[in-house]
Amino acid sequence: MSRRVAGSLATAVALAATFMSLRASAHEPGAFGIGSRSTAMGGAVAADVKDFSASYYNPAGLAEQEGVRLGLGYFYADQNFTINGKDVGVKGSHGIMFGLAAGGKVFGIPFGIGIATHIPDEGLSRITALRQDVPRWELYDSRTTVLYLSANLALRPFDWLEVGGGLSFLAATHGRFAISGRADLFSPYDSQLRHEVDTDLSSVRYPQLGALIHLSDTASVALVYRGQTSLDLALDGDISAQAAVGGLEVPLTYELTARTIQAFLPQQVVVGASWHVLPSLKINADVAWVNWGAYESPTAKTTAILEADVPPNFPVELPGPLKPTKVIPPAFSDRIVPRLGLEWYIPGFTDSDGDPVVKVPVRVGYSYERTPVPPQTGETNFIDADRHTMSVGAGIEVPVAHVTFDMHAAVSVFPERTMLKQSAANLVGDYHVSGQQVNVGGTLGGVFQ
Amino acid sequence: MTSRRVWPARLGVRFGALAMVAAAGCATLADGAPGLDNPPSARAGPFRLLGPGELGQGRAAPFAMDVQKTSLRDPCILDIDGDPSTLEVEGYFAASDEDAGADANPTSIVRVGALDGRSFDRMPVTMLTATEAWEGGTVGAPSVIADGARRRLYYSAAGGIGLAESEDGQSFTSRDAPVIASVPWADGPPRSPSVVTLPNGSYRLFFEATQGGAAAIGEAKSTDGIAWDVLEEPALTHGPSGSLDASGVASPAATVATSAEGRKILYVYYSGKGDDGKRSITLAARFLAEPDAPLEKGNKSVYSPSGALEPREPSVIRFEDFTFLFTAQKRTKSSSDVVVTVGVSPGTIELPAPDPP
Repeated sequence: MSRRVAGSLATAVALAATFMSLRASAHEPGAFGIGSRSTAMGGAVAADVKDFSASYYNPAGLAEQEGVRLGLGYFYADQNFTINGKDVGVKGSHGIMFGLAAGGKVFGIPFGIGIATHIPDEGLSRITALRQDVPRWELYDSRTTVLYLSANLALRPFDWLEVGGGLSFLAATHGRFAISGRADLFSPYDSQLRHEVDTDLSSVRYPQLGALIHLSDTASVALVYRGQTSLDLALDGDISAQAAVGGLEVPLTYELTARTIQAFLPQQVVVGASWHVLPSLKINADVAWVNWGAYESPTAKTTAILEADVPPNFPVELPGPLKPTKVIPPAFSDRIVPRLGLEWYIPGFTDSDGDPVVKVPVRVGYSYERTPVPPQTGETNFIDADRHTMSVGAGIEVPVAHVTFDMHAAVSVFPERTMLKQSAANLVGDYHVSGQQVNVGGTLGGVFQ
Repeated sequence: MTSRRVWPARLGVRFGALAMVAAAGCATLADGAPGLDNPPSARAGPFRLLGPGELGQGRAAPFAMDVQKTSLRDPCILDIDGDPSTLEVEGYFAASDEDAGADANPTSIVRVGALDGRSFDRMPVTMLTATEAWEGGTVGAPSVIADGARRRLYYSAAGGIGLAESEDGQSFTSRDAPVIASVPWADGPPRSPSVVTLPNGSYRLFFEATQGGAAAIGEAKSTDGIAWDVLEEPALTHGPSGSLDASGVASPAATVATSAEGRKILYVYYSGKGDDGKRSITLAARFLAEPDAPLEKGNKSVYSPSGALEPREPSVIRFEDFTFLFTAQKRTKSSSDVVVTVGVSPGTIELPAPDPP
């Protein structure tokens, strides 16, 4: 289809920029937790979770669910990251958490199913493909918004053992654009260009598996595996047009290809334990091995070729082919993440028979995530620092109505970290970084027997 | 999910042309680079050419100096008080005889002032003319250091590098001999000096000289700024084939900076010439914790205009929040006019308004 259009060759460039500046990344459960109870306990719930957040923390816990438990929550995380003492404008993250956990029996074997999702407020995904020398808070700037969905199944083959597993999904985009026709550089409305855009929105999947062993009535241990995944994004562009400059017709072609890997999620192994110290007091501890060493550089690998039959003495100099990007390995390292959580039910709130009218748990948590990012002494500027997260929360449970409401607040502190460049000629130079995150939210739950 | 549409575009083709030209030609930093707000920057480059509204005195950005009658060129911009929080500067330029053309050797050095660091007044005052026999009738490529009102003006002449001094900054007296007349490793006399005062009070002088037919950059040390100890080997030579400076390095401009973490750095900007003859401004540097360590090349252009505009004789002046790069170059590829452009780093900075507008 060819029509009179006011188009431009640079529409391609604009489209390219649009595609490459769509911001997508993964993912909120990893960065901010999912479910207020689990978040308030520092994420240390691998051996003590049976609500919808079990789909993330340990799908085996779903086998403990009786009836259908729905959860609906919202969280808002504000981020304040600085470089050299100046706020660098990293966006916050917020969105809806939703899920269900349902349990029953099949052939006498207790089983559970669960679904958990996080739906970001600002678009389903966002992606930023930056040059590797452009400074960015690598783990919290570009990876904090993506649609997350997890579906799991669990069984309890023995009273002391629960196992579960499933798949989580993230969205990925592949795009292509093509422009052909004739562009008049001095008379835009005489241009005739055809644009084609072809995009695929597909998903990537990664597995998670979990096991939960009840050592006694008061003690449990858990083992969880979460798989590695990343979004492989592609953009191909093709321009074939006649550029009209005054009375001259300049045929030109422009080919652009860009590939980038975003939203990398490392595989993780979590060992967790939960101990009912007292009937009203529970202590949880998790230790996770996180395989950040496998991190792949998100640097876009781009090739671009512009060819034009430019007349002699025409005052335009065409660039040579784009030099291929030499990607510097990010050299991240694995890390061990300890998490600690406490839950205490405030005594009282009983009726005349001594039965609880309401239950009021309060929770605290702590986690320490050593940065996997090495000192940025060279050309790359992947910024990160150690992360200490302190969390608190409280809830109210109404046994008669089978309703719960939990709230959480968490503060993450990134102590100052200094980056000294090896080369005095480095154009970014030395800098120091620090940051804070504040994450608040609430989750409403209801059980239907 | 797949969507496929074919539709008429409604974007302006003028934008398209501009974008294509930008994508094709300009190698200086683009405006609005993606990434964080307030990104860290050594303020050493890359430099964005100033645009409309960023130069005062009726000058057309990015041309900080465009005087064809005397072909003012070879800028040296001096922070009058040495305080990076104030913008007033003196600009020293080489000048040819009137109407002699840009190809003629410069015969004098003039000074102009700018209250805002870049908008120079239109009243050049001659500071130095070629009078000494050893100068061979030419003086140019000024490099000036200040100590209060006192000025030391180093310059390039036929017989080497000269020094003129002034107690009041108004009248300069040349020495009757060059301070550096020859260089052990060079085929001829040195030229294009750039002098910088190190934090320890000593001086370093970088200069251009020819070695084996290619331009190289030498270094000399001094404790008094008068007697110079020239290093036995060049400080910088041409790079490997395919590099930005594969065919030579020329016209150094040295400046001292402090990193965000307090490390002192000596930057040496220079004009590199590639295999294809294209010139760009690039830099080398060393940490002054080791003042005699080799200079390390950045291997990136900090200013690379499209076309064969041949940028040369850079001059860099650092202020608190930004750095200006002044460069002599051709106005256009086919023009014989010489102009002085001004660029700023970081390119995202919003400059204070020109003074006067």
